[in-house]
Amino acid sequence: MTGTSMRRWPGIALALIALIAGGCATSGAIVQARGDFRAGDPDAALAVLATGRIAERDRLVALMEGGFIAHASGRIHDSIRLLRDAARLVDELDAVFVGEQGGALLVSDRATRYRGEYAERLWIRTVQMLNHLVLGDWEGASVEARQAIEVFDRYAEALQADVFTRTLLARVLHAVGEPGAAAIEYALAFEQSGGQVGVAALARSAAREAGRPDDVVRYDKALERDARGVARQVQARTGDGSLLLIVASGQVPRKRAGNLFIAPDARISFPYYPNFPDMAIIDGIRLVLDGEPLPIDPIGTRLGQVAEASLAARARQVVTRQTLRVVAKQGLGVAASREDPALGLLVNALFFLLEEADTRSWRTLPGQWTLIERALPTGRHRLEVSAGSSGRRVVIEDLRIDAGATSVLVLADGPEGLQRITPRAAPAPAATRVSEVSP
Amino acid sequence: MTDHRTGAVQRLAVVALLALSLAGCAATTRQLDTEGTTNYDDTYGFSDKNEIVDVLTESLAASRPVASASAAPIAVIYGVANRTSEHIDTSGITDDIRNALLRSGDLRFVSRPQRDNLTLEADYQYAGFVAPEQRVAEGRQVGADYIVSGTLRSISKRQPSQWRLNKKRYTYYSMTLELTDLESGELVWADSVELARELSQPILRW
Repeated sequence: MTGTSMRRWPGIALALIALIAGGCATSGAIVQARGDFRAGDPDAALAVLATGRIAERDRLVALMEGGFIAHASGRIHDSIRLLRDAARLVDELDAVFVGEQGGALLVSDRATRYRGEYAERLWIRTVQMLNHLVLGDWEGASVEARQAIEVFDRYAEALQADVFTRTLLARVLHAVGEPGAAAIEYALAFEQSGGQVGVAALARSAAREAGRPDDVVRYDKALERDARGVARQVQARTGDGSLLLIVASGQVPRKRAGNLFIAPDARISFPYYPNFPDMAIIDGIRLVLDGEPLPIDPIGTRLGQVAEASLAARARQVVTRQTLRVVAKQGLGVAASREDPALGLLVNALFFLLEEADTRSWRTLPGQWTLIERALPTGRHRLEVSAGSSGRRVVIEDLRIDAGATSVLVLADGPEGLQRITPRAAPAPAATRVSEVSP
Repeated sequence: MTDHRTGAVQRLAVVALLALSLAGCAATTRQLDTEGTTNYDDTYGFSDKNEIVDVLTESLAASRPVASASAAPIAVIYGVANRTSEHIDTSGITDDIRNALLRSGDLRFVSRPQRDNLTLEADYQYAGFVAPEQRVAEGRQVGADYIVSGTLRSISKRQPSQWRLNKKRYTYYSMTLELTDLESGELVWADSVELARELSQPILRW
């Protein structure tokens, strides 16, 4: 080893250690917040995200996680604010940042600011739609519906499996008096669902109002297959109202890291979604209204399936970046070896360790979203909803159905089972809480 | 002597750079002309609202039902539906149109949002707390002749993905206002304003 390279050792080692430390770990606050949420303490989770140290590269993940945690725990206004910031950040990051890309070329994609998978960009809008529906703000939900259409238009192929979001946004647009736009979206949802009867039942009236007779015929044909007439019970008769029920159940699968060894000292690490057995099972929803089982035709989307398609749509981009990274790392390794074989070995070993797949994702999302619409007699009802085979259930003792109106009920699966999402304020900070007065 | 001068120039350069960097960090505010045009991006802003209000107020004031009426007709505002991709409080548009028409005296208005409060206040007055001679007379409210309503729409399109240095997006807004005769149900006047803007942003950034 030459004297010159000996002098360079500490500097190179320090730089590489800094790269490792800076490039890989997910912000601790996000990990803790996910844990708090799953343990049934969403307020602690949101407090950690608000006050904990979040690396700039993970800010989008933190905003999305916070947005869903706030949504599922009823802090709707907080959720709207966090997801609005998330959507803005996605827009800001929609460019090529040269300096950042240079760093990523040597470290890994985890060193760059997370931009969100295409599916996650859509689900920001889905959760925002649900937030506005929980608040009874159909017009606000329709704004998010239009934004969701823009995301669908941009990444059409990657997102076509999300029939739930497409149907929900169509339902929202129909409700605010846009049957034309709703009919177009329903038609796409019907096509993408493979002609699902439940979608046809919702879509028919919008198609009729929008003057699309061909669509009406298509939907009627689909409805003929519905021998029990379940789907037809979507349409409320005069004097009836309807229930729009949305259930979030299960947990979205995690991205995993796969490794491809191209040489003993060189590997490519890439993100992928494993084919989880539970991804293939549609979580069954059962309803009991006033003691009687209620036949339903649910429209559901497994988020894992959409996430997988979304990642696959980015595969070419990922492979190109990985290839460039391997070439750059190999080039630097060879240059270091020329200087000093031992230095070359060290550089190659560190680059080998640095190679890490970007497995960041929005992990608090449910595994499945399901939409059910049913016409119901006006008045107050007792509704029991159960999901899956594990007997998770919730009872709504006083479900109010008004004539000609749609009551929205959003349920989410949590550590304490299925729960209705109802708006609530954030808890007061500890310092301002009314303390007990000692005698 | 030369060394001394070089040193002074170097010190001056350092001071100038320091001043520049400090100026760059300082937060500043400035007053904007609310009648002028200010756009930071392609989304809806106060300049758009002002343009919409100016055009539609003038058009409504000059419309046949308003201009040819012997006395200023009475209208009730049913709001502007937001059909855009942005969370816009459209009551700002109708409030400003109402204010301008009230100032000019071309239209009179009854307030729909105040109806519940009017009832509450009248109930209070008749509950025995207010002297009989000071109570408002019931059944004397004026009725509206017309309903004012409207729709704000937008269309936004991104330039398709291709090799380029800038990404472009245009946004188009269309605001329609209508006047409906309450007695006949006839749509007696409608007009619209269109605005379109293009945003161009660099794809490569530091």
